Amino acid sequence: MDGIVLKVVYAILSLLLIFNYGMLVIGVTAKIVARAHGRIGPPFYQPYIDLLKSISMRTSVHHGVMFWLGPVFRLTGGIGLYMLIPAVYGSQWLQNFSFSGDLILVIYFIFFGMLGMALGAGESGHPFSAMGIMRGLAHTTASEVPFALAIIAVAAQYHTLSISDIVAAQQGGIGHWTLMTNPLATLAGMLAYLGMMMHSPFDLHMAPQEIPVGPVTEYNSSYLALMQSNRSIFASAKLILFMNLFFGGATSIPEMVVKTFLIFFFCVFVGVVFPRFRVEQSVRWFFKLPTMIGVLAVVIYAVHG
Amino acid sequence: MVAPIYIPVVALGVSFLLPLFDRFGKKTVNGLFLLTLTFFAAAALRWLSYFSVANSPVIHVFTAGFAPPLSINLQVGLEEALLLAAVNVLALAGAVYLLDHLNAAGTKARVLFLLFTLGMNGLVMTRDIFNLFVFLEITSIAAYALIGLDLKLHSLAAGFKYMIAGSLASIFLLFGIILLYQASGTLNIDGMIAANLSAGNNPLIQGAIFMLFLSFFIEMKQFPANGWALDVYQAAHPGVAAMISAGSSGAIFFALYKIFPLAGDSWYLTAAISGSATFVASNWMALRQKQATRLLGYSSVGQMGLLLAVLGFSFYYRQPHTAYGYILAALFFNHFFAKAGLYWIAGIIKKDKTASWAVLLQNPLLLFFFGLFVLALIGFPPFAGFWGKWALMMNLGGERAWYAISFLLLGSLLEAVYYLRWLGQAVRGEPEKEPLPATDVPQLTVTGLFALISLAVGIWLGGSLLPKDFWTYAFPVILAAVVFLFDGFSVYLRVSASLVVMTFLGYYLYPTAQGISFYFAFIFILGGMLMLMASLYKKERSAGFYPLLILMFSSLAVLTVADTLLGFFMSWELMTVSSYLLILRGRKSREPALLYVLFSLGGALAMLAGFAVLQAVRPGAEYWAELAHAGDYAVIIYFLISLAFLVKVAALGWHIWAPDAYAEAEDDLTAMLSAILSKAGIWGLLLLAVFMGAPLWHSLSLSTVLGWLGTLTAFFATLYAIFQEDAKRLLAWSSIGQVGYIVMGVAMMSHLGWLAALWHTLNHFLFKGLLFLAIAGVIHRTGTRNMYEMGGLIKRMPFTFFSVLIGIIALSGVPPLTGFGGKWLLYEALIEKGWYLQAGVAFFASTIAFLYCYRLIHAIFLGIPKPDQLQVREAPFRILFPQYILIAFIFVFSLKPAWLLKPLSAMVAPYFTPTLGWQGDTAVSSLGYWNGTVMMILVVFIFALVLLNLLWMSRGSKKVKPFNIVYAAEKPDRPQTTHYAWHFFAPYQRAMRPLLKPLVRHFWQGVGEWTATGGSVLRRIYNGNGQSYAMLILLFAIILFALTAGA
Repeated sequence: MDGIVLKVVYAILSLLLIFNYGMLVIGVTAKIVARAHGRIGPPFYQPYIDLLKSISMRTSVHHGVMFWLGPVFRLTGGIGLYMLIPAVYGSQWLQNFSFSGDLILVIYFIFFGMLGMALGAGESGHPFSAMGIMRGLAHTTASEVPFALAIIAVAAQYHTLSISDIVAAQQGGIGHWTLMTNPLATLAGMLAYLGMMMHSPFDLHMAPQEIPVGPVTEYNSSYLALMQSNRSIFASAKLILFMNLFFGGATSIPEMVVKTFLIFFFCVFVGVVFPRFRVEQSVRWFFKLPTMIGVLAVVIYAVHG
Repeated sequence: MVAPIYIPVVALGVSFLLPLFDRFGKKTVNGLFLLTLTFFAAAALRWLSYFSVANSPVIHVFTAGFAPPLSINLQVGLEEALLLAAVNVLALAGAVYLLDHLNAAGTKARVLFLLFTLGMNGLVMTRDIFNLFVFLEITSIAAYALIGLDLKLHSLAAGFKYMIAGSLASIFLLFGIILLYQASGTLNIDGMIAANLSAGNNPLIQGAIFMLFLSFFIEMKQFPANGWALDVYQAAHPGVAAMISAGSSGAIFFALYKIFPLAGDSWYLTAAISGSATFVASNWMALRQKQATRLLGYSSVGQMGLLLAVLGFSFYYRQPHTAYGYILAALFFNHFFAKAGLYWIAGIIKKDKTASWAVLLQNPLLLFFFGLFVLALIGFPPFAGFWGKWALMMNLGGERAWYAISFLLLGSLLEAVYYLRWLGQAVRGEPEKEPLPATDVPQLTVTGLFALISLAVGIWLGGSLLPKDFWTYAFPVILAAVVFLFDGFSVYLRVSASLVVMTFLGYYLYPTAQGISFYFAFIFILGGMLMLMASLYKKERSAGFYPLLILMFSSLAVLTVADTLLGFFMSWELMTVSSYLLILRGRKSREPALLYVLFSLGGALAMLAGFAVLQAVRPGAEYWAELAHAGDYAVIIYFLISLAFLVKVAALGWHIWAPDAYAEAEDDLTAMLSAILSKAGIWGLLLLAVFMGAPLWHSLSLSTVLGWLGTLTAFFATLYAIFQEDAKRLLAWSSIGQVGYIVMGVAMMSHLGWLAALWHTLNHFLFKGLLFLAIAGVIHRTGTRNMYEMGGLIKRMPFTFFSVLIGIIALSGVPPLTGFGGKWLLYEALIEKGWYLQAGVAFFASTIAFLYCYRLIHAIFLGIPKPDQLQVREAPFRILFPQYILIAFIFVFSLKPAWLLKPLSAMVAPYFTPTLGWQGDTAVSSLGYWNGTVMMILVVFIFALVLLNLLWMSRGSKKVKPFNIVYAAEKPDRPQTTHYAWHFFAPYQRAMRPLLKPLVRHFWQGVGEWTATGGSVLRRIYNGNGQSYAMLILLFAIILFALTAGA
C-alpha cells in the first residue's frame, strides 16, 4: 500500500514539474519566434497569464455533455501520456507509471486525448471545428507512418519495446545514442516529429486565416484552460518520448531540460522558416521522404533478421 | 409382383382401347388413362421395394418362352427398378399436370402420352438392341407429336427439328445395329457384350460401334449437336418439356448405360470429354439467356453432359461399379426431380422472361418450391446433387483427373450463376403488376410432390455418405425445421423458440468442442443468441427469417466440431446458402446477394477441389487431420482450401461482395454477418494452419503470403471506409479491414500471433456487433443510412451515442478499452516475428481507422441536428439491451484482460510454445509488457480528478442552443450548410487518389463481362435453322470420329 501512495506522490510531483516546464518552454519559444520575426514578443510567463485569464472569465458557455467532456478527455490524455513515460532514467520519482505498458501503449494513448477533444469540439456544431479536426486527423495519419516505422526500427534494434530498456541501452555516451547507432530511424522519427508537434509548416489544423484556431474554436473559459494546461504537459511528454527514443534519454533533470529544449527548438526552427502546407501537401510530403527513410530503416532489420 | 411384360401389354392394350372409350365421355377416358399410369407407377414402386432387399434375384422375361438370342428379353433389377419407379412416377405426375392440355387435343394426345411412357419403360427394361431401337423410335415419335400437339408454329418447327436430328440418329443407330448383328450373330445386348467386339481391330466393327454411339451421343444432346434440343425445350409446352428433359432423356441415358460396355476403350475417354464439354459449354452459353424455358433447356443439356461425363469416367478409370453408381444415381435423380419441377413451375406461371418471375412472390408456396429446385440443381446440401458432386470430386481426385475436376467445377459454377440470378429475380425482382394465373391445384400438388421427393432422395443419399455423427450434421436442418413450425406466430414466440433450440445445440455441442473450437462455438452460439434478441426490435418478420437464422448459426456452430471433410463442407455450404437467403431479404439486395453467393460458392468449389486433390495423396481421406499428410500437394491443397476462407473473410481480391452485401442486408442481419459470420473464415484458416502448418512454395511460405494479404486487406479496406457516406458501408469496409488484422494474426503462426487473432476475433465481435446494432437503431428511427442527412443526434439518442462511443474506442484500439489489447498483441507479435514492414502498414491502417471512427460518430451524433430529426426518439429498448450486454463484456475484458488472455493462451499452447508470460496482471511478451488493469485504474483515476476539477471550475457555465457559435460575423441558421459532414475527408481523398482506383472491382467486372460475352457469342451457333443443326450434327460426328479414332 505504501508503494502505491509513494508512487502517487511522486507522480504528482513529477506532473507539477513537467507542467511548469511545459509552460515555460511554450513561453520561451514564443519569445524566440518573435525575435526571429523582429518583434519584442510576449514575456516568457505569458502562458501563465493566458491560463489565469481563461480560468477567471466571467462568461462560460458549453454546447452539451460531449463538448463539456472534451477537455476532460484531452487533459486526461495528456497527463496519462506523461505518466506512461519514464522521464528521467534512474530517477525513482520520475519513473511515473511506466510499468503499465510499453511503447505500444504510449503511442496508442496519444490518441486518447485527441479523440476525446475531437468529439467535444464536434458537438459545438461549428464547421471550423469539424474542419480543423478533419485536417488534424488526416495529417496525423500521415505523420504517424514514418514515426511508426522509426519505432519499429528501434524496437528491432534493441529487441525491446520497453522505453526504460531502450534508454538503458543508449547509456554510455553519445556514441550509444540511437541517433548514432540507428541514424535512419532517428531521421524518420524526427521528420515525423515535426508533424506530431503540429507546428508550422504542419499547423494546418488551426490555420488562423481560414479556420481560426481550428478544433478549439468554440472552447472558452475553464474549458480552454484545461486545453491550455494540456498543451504544456502533452508537448513535454512527447519531447521526453523522443529524447528517450533517439537521444539517449536523460539521467538528471537538467539533462532532460537541455535535451528536450533542443529537440523542441528543432521544430520551432523549422516552423519559423517554412510556411504552412495544405492537407494534401503535408500528407504527400510525409509519404515521400520520411516514409522512404523509415521503410529503409525497417528493411535493414527485416533483411538482417 | 407384376411381371414386367404387362407394362408393354397394358400400354398397348389401353392405347387401342382409349379411342373406343371415347364415346363414354372424357371422364371415363381420363380415368382409364390415369388408372393405367397409376398401375405402371405402382408396379414400378413394388419392384423397387422388392429390390431394396439385398440380393433379390433379378427378374427376367423371355418372350414366347425362348431364351435369347431367339427371344426378346426384358430385365428388371435394382437399377431398372429405380429408373422405372422414377419414370413412371414422372409419367403419372406429368399426366396429372398435363391433363387439361391433353384433353384439349383429344383422345389421341393421351394415346401418345401412353406410348411415350411405354417407350421410356421399354428403353429401361429391354435387353435386346433392336428392341431398344424400336422403343427409342416409339419414344421419339411420340415426343415429336406431343411437342406439336398445340399446333403452334414454333412448337411445330421445334418438333420438326427434333425429327431431323432424331432421324439422323436413327439412321446411324440402325446401321450400327445391323453391322454389329452381322459381326456377333446376336441382337441380345449381353450376348454382344460377351462377344467383346471392340477388342478386335476390325474397321467395320469399329465403324459400327462409332455409328451406334454417335447416335446415342446425339440423343444425349451433346454439344454442339444439340441446337434442336434447346429449341424443343423452349417451344414445347413446359409439361411436355419436363417429360422430355427428365423422363425420356433419363431413359435414353439408361439405355446408353446398358450398352456402354460395347464401346471400346477409346470411347470412355471420349464420352468423358464430350460430356464435360457439353456441361461447360451449355452452362456457359446460358449465362446471358433471359428466356426461362430455354434457360432450363441449357441446364438440361448440361446435366446430360455431366451424366455422360461421369459415365465415361467410371468406365475409363474402371472403378468398382458401386462408386460411380452412387454418383450417377445422385446426379441423375437430382436433375430428374428438380428439372421436372422447374418446368412445371414455368408452365404454371406462364412467364417467358426470367426477370418476370418476381410474380412468384404472389404465391409463397410456389416460390418455396422454386427455391428448393434451384438450390438442388446448384448442388447445395441436403439435395442429391450435393452428395453426387462430392463423391464425384473425391473419386476424380483419387484418379488425379485434374482437368476433369477443373472443368466440372467450372461448369457447376457457371450453372450456379444463372440459377442464382434467376432466384434473385424471383425473390427480389420488380414486383409484377399482373396477378399470377389462377393456380391449378393438381399442378401445384405434383410440383410440391416432386420438391418433397427431391428433398427426401437427398436426405436418404446423404444418410448413406454421412454415417459418422450423422445427427450432428443433420441438426442445423432439423433445428431450422423446428423453428419453421413457429413461423406465423408472434415474433416473441419465434425468438423464444429460436433461443431454445440454440441453447439445446449449445448443450449438445458442449462436450465435443474444446480449446479453440470451444471458443468459436461460444461466439457462434452465444453471439447468435444475443443477435436473435436484438432482432426483436422490428415487430414484423416475414416467414423464413428465423429458420434461416437458426440454420446459419447452427451450421456455424457445427463447423467448429466438424472433424470430417464432408461434414465440414456440408456445414459450410449450409451456412453459405442460409446466409445468402438472408441477405437476399434486404430490399435492394438482389445484386449484392448474388455477388456474395457466387464468390462464396466459387470459394467452396475451390475447397472441394482442394479436398479432391488430397484424395490423390491419401486415397479415401475423410478427416481434417489427414491434411497433415498432403506431402507434395500441400501447397496446392492449402491454396485451394484457403480460397473458401479468404472469400468469407473478404480478403483483398475476394472482397468486392462484402461492402454491398453488408450495406444492403437488413440492418440487424448486417450486425450478424459482420460480427459472427466473418469469423467462419477465420476458423477455417485456423483449422488449415493447425493441420497443414505453413506449406512452402519453393522457399516462400504460404503463411507469409497470407500475412501480406491480411495486411493489405486491413490497409485498403480501412482507406476505403473513410470515404463512405453510408454508415453501413463505412462499417462494412471497416469490418473487412478489421478481419484483415485477424488474418495477419493467424498467418504469423506464433503464440502471440494467434493470441492476437483470437483476442481480436472476440473483440471484433463485441465492438462491431455493438456498432452495427447501434446504427441499426439509428436507421430504424431516422430512416436513412446517409450520415450527412443526420447530425446532432446525441441529444435525441444518448444511449445509442454511448454505444457508438464505446464501439469506436474499442475499435480504434485506444487504451484503456479492449481494442488496445488486440493492437498490443498484434504489434508485439509482428515485431517478434520480424514482420517489420507489415507492422508499419498495419500501424498506418490503424491510424486511418481513427478517421472513419470520428466521421461515423461526428456526422451522426455531433454537430447540429437536422430540422426533421428534432423529434427523433431513442432507439427501442430491445435493440439497446443487447448493445449494453456487449458493452459490459468490453468493460470486463478491458479491466481484466487476464481473464480472457490467460484462457486464450492455454488454448493456443498446444500448437505453439507460449511466449507470453505473466507477472501478476502484467502480460509480458518477449519485447514488452502491458498491464490493462493498472492502465484502466490509472485512466479512470486521472479522468475523475480532471472531471471534478472541471466541475468545480465550470460552475456557472451555461448551456447554449445550436447555432450559438462564433462564425465570422454571420449567424448561420441552416444545419444543412453548417453541419460539416458530406465529403468529410475531401483533401485526404485528393492526397490518396493514386491508391483509390478500384482495380479489384474492375478485374472481376472484366471477368464477368468477358465470360458472359464469350458465352453469348458462342451460343450464336444455335441460329434456329434446322439445316444448321444438321450441319452441327455432322460436325459433331467428325469431332467424335477424330477423338475415338485418334485414341
